[in-house]
Amino acid sequence: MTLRDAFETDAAMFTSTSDFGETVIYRPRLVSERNIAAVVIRQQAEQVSGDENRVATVFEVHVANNSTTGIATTEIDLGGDMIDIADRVGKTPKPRSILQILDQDEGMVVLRCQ
Amino acid sequence: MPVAEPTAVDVLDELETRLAWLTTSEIVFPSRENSDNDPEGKPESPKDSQVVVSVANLTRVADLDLPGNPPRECWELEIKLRLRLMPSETDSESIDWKLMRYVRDVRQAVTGGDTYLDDWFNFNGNALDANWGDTMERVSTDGTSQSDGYVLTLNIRIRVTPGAL
Repeated sequence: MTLRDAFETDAAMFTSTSDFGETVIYRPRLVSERNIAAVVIRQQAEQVSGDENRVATVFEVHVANNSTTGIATTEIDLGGDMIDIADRVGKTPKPRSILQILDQDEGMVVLRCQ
Repeated sequence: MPVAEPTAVDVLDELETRLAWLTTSEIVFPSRENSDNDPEGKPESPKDSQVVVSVANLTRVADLDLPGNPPRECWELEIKLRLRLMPSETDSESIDWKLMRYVRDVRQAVTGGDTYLDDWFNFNGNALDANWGDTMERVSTDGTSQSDGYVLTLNIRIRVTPGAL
């Protein structure tokens, strides 16, 4: 097994809904949505911009770098794609914009959503 | 017999109604509600084609007061319209062209939509006068959303009973 294979195997285990993961809906800007597994770290709300009187919760979303079970780095359209996430565990998920790729390798992608 | 008098909230209601003409945009009047508590509620995420409306400074305009019984006070509401276009990895059209069209559409919505209203500035009888700010502030790759846009200023003057803003 190569190191790249190990990354991919670890990603599947890490995002497993039996362990740390949860099922979320990925909504690409141009094609239909799909269910994926993700580890969601819910952070504090941040001001969206200095010109606006509002804040919104920030999410760090870890998914497999995979176009079936997660989100492939090749398909992400920043600013247009969204992920349905509840801002507290157990509540109704709502679409949040994918704003940044925080980290990436062959196995995992870490996204910042708000 | 007491007569219903317009307030700043009536003006904002009318503004919201007019901006609804932008059917492909999301109009946000920021709240502190946790929208996840409401199945119908939308999170206020930064999105493409979004207009965020907020009230900035309120300024007394004593010159336009109306003495009488009761006296009426004139206030100027500074309304900020933040127009947002999100980045895209699939749309190669010039951002400036898109922004100019968006600015035009938002201004058209405020002044009546399909049909220009000669008296758009009184907001359906709720305001004394209104005018656009002198500058439209360009915003580039701003904040957490890295979005582009403009901040339009709309100055709306209203006359209210003292204490009834």
